[in-house]
Amino acid sequence: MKERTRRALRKRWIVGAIGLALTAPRTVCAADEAGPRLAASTLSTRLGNGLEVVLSQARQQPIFSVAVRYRVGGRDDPQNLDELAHLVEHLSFRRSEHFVHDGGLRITGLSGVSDNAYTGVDDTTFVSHGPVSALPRVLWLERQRMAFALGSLSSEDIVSERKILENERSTMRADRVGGMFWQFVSAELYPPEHPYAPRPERGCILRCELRHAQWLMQRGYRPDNARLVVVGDFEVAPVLDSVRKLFGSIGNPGVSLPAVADVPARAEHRSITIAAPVPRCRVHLWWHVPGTMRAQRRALDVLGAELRLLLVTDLVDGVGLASDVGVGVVPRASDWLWSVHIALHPGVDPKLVERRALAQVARLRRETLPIEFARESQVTELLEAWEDLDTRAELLASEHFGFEIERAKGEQSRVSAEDVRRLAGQLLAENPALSVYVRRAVDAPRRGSLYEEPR
Amino acid sequence: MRPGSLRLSRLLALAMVSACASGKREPFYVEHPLTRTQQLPVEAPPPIGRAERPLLPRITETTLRNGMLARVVSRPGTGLVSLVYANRRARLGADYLPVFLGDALLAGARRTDGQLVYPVATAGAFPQVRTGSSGTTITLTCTAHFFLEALELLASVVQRPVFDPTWMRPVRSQSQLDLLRMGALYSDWALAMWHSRKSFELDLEGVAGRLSGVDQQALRRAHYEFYAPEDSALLVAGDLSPAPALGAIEQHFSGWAQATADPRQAERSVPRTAAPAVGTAESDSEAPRTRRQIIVTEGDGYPSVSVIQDAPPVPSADDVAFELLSRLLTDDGSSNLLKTLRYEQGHAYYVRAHTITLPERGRYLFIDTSVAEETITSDVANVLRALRRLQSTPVDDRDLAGAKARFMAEIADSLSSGAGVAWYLAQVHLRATPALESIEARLDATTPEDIRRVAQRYLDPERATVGVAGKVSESLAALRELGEVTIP
Repeated sequence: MKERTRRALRKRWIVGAIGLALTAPRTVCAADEAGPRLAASTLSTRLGNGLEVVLSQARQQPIFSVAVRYRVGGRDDPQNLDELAHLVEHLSFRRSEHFVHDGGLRITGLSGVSDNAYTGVDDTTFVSHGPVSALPRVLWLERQRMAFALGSLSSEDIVSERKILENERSTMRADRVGGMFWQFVSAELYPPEHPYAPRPERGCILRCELRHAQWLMQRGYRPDNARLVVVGDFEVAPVLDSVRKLFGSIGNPGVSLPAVADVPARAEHRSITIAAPVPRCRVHLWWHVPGTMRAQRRALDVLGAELRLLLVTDLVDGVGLASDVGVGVVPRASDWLWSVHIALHPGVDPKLVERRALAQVARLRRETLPIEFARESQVTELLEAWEDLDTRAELLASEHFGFEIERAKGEQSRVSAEDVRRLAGQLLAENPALSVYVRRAVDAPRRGSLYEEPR
Repeated sequence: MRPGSLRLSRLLALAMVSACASGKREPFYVEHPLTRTQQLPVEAPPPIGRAERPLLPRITETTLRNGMLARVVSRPGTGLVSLVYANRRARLGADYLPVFLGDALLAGARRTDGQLVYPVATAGAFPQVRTGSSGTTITLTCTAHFFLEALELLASVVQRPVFDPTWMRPVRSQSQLDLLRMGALYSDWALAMWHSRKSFELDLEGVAGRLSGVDQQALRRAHYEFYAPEDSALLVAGDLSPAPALGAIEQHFSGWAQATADPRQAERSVPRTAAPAVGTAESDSEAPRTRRQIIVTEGDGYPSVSVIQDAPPVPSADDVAFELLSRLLTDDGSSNLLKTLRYEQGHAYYVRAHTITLPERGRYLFIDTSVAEETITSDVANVLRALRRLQSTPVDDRDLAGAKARFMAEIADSLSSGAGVAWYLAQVHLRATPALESIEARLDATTPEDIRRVAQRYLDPERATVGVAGKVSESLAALRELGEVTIP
């Protein structure tokens, strides 16, 4: 996501003379008479063609955020065409049968709208935000993408976007593991036939042809495989009417997406070391979250915050072994992961850090710890996500259908210390499913041939 | 047609029919017609109306008797409150010490009642410290009923840091690491100084080493020098009432004494442990730039390209027009450059523009992209051509309207959350940027001719500096035709 530009105002208020006693508070900037408009309501519905629609009011500014999420992603890449879903995402920006513009299927230059898209393992999400005056045009464009982009693709587009994709992949190599980190991790977590397992050949997308892109787009970019979320300063009824008119008539093709293979993840504990020219060593630990625990998402979040607090206190603030700690749930359709990432200070032994981290995990399983701080942090995060339009749109696009903020907040607030201890006992086995050390090796090749070391 | 081939085609047709009949399809079967919605009516694209102006926050402010500024914006119903402490004296410039000091503030503090606070956290939130070239901010967002607790924490950190040696150890390591990670920032600074022929020194490892010598006493003196109420502001936005909030701020901060020491004395008392990153006017080159320079450094992946140009100071009469000009060059604007490099040629994934400000050393525009080595020369030439076009031809009215709409949308976006509002107000304190109330009028008044005027005044493609990071050994000869290549 592009970093938001924060612009500033010039100070125009003249402060009182130095030495003045505290002056009475004064209102110095003429705001709109109504003040901030924060009342909000959310509506979830499903159109006849299966398209899920979520409309959520956010009246604080005359702006909107739109997210359209298609449930097609890296898991749907054929064995011999890695990144096909990503390529199709790129292609969908080029044009439609009825909209040809030299700036692509976008309106950024005309309206102040900013847009982007992400291809994940399960889904592809198109996001845009801008002044609410441009919302009708953005919805119209999303209809173009859903109904009319497929028929406009050409072989020249494939050649051009393959180059762009290669360029993008190059810029994503900032982790200095050559963009290969998830390839290594997924190969350990999943057997080859699992949808999340890495494809056997990296870069084979360069063999992609027009028919391959058409195949995936026809199956993935369709109303019964999508959710449309609109957040912003609008009245729900007219926008819903407009959505019905624009999207309700789009039919689904006779073909369906190939079913996602139901293959269990590897169960046994595994560990690998990746040597790469990274600036600092890292330790990563993963546990699989059993399907039965997914309903306890709020408690999982509190558990994550609690573990992070313990690890920060011990590893960062305490002995100074690590500089950053991240803990959280990675909810994916076929396998939820519980992840811990620790960035080490130079010269610190990763084995020592892993041992200390697992000791804190054991403490969570064993003891009922005070969780007020962790719970409060998660309530704050939830409210912050809801207040920010873009984050709310992404939240509504990814959370279960019919998500309600007040209910989620209530669930979050009711998580007890005993819930957390019990959940830790069920979820966090003594050894994680996978532990990874990323070792600093300045002599390791920078691209393409990174190697794994046996422990 | 030969009889044999007829038999073969019949056999193939038979095989296809039987495959379809048995439900088997080729692996990449595509159903036709491709577009299952050909019967759908084709509507004209709806018009885009004029963007509404952003809703301005209702700010209630006061100045404490010690000179500190407090501003509060009420946003009822959100359940959250965001606080930003802003200090424009502790800024990253010739000295790294303010950055280290900012980190050190989080190594423990004393509350009003004298109790130690460690670790520095409250109400589910850890404060975040950021020090840049315009000052230091400490931000904290929590649920509204913890406002007073958050205020107490910020007041403790800012006024009564402890710098306990034990707690400082990890902070020091972190600061040193952060310094070494600032390579990207400093490489921008280095390019900007190269472009303006001003002196620049960089010794990150040396600075990191010297930070080890900054002890508790030195930090206390530095804190006294850099943290003073008269250069500070507290900005609060959230679910609270302004008057009681301002009262609480007064209670927590009005006892903070103004700095009374002679600044020259402070200068001597604080050890200058950090090497100067940016030189002084005396050390600048006096020779003017005569031609284009291309600076080539190592890098991974596709070469990244930055074209550096001068930018007007802020505030100035040209700042709004120049902001629009920079949007016209990037993804967010109607960028002819992006159309050329991405959609026509398939060479670039993005084109972005950003400005950087170096304290007392000027402001610079960077146009960034990433391209393949095989095409780098023509791509750089395209960027330079786009700059020349801005100087010679007035921009299209529609493109300019789009850039204006984006500018306003960014402001509205910044003001759409409590954290955004508080941050925005902090930037008001730290940077002198155009007043929000006048921006709309200034945007309306900006014409295509204004864009051309500022392009002619600040852009100079013939003497641009081009930074290239990546492997371009095969293209060096071609790059030399664009300008003087230097490999530092």
